[in-house]
Amino acid sequence: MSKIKIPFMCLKAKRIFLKNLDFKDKTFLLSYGYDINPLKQSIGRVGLLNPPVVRKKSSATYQIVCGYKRVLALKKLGVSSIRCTVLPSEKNDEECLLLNIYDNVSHREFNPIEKSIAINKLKNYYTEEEIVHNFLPALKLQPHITQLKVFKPLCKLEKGIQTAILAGRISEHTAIRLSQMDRASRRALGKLFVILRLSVSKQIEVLEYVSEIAMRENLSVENVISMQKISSVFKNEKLNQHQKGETVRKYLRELRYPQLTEKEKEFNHNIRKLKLSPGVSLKAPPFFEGDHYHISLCFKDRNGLNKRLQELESLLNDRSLINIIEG
Amino acid sequence: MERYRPKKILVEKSIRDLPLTQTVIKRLKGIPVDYINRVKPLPVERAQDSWLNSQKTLLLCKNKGRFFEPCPGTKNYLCCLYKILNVATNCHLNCTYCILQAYLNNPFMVLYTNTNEMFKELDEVLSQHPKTVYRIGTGEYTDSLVLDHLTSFTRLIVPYFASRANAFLELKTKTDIIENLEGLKHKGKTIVSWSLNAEPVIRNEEKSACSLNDRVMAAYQCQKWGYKLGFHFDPLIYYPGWESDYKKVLEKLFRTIETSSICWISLGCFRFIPKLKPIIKKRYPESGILYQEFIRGLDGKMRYFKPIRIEMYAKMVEWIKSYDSKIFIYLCMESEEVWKKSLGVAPLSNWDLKKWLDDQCRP
Repeated sequence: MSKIKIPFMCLKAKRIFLKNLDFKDKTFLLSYGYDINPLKQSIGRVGLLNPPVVRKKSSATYQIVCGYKRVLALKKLGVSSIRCTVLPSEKNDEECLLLNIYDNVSHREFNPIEKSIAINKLKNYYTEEEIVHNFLPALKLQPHITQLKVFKPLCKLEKGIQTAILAGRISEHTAIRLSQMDRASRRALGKLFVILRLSVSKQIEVLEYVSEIAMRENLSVENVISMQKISSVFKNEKLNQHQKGETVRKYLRELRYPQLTEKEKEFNHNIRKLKLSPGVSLKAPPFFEGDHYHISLCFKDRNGLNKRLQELESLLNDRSLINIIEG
Repeated sequence: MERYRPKKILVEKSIRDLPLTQTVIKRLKGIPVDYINRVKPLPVERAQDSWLNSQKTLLLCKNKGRFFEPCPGTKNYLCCLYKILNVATNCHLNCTYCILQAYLNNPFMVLYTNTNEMFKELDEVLSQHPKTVYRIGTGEYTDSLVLDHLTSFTRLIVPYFASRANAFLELKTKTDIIENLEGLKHKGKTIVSWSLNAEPVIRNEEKSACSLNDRVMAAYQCQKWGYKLGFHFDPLIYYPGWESDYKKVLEKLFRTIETSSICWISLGCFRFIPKLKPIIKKRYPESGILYQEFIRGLDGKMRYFKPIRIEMYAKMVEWIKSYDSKIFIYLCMESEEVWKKSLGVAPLSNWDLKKWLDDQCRP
């Protein structure tokens, strides 16, 4: 990586009319998903503390390098001109971008979409390896390529999904999986996650169930999500959000693993028929693959142990136990 | 089937004058050759990035490690204690399910040409335990015959095994590259095996390999040359309608091949290490093989849920036995319970299974 120098600058401050600032030029804009009102309120009360940084674009217009939100707030306050720090026009785009990134990270943490925007803008000047080692720590990310891969696609997702990410409804890890899908599938799943409010691991689980069922059955992701049984869960007012999420997840698991879930039901049915005491439990081998079952007993003295053992012995010829073990 | 022809050859300087190196270079006249000191292995992820492209480079080099090694087998399932002769790695047939995709840290087609050292190593191993029977295969890290049109390696290895009392060679392939096997004095010590599959699986998942018909016809030719034959239905792929497709394979096989020539038929349902899944998804997004009911097996590999495997094996066994009840069938990497429920019997141990297969090799 070439060493970037932002030397001490004797910068000119200049009063500039807002009409001469190019608001449409977002070359250096990193902010996303912000609420302008608190800033508007702050400037309204105590004035502008830090002047925005601009660069001359043409004889009459300036490009905003740092402080896009500040300028926007001032515009909304009806201010017609402000003092700006003007960068010499020989400052190149790379230096301007770095100036804006470091101006931001010095006093706030970027949200996930902003991190993604920053990474994508940095990609114009640096290799992935350079970004990982030189910039991810400043963005409060681990200096690892997987972090870059998680965050890079976020700013290219649809607005609805980005909003859900910022609201914490869709995790960044789910979002990267969504970014690898076609637009229609992404929208359908995004909508599902907004409704269901699942944890990160359950979002990934549901995403895999839906996409794999779709692949197996030759359906679209939308077809799977719009199945009657799933849409009826959305409408069921007796279920809270958590219960809706669990019901949909379980239903999808049954669809994805029909034989395994059938076997689990049969096993649980037989366990119930055994009427084991509360201190006794019987566990099947994981996925019924191995041939070792586990029994656990809870007791506090020899008498208690004896009682439990007698109980188990009495079950040896029970039809339900035979069904469990011999299938 | 398109036979392998590289676009570039890399040759390690240390083996440039060895006979096999020279043979291959001569047969690939016109292909650019670069002489190098050595190739550094890549991290597996990096190797994957350039997988398909890099296979067009043939690397001729020295095997600095051992040629001979036990089959890695798998924990908690019955293993036949097979032995591997590592003569080459990688394969341009690019079957979608191939484990090599997640395993190799070198994406080139690699051929070890220091065969003199390989034979020396074999001599040592086979002489050390003269009473032990060794079943040795070259098809673990590559297809046994995929480079044979360039190497004629079988013309060396088949006669070698014919001269050894306690060893049998198995050549496993999905190709029809058998011309070098003609006229060799094999003395029944070489088993030529084909991996077979249902036609839709061959069409979709084994696109660059030979058609079913060509495989069976190649086996027929080897039968005429007196070779014993093996057939491996591995991986068996489950999908709606699999039964009729696999039945058709058996019909074709037994219409052409005499059951008395068959040394063994193995069955193994599709299984994969978890890290292969994202590779297949990325490289072959249209492949549907990953979406049936897989569970994590006792060895950490993903396998079909047990009742599915038992159903597939039991049906295959019934259909095969309907042609000849004496055909020897074994399961690859399965539990005692699955053996019993699909074949009615199970070996008591890995050694027991090894003995069953060793006995099959003997005349």
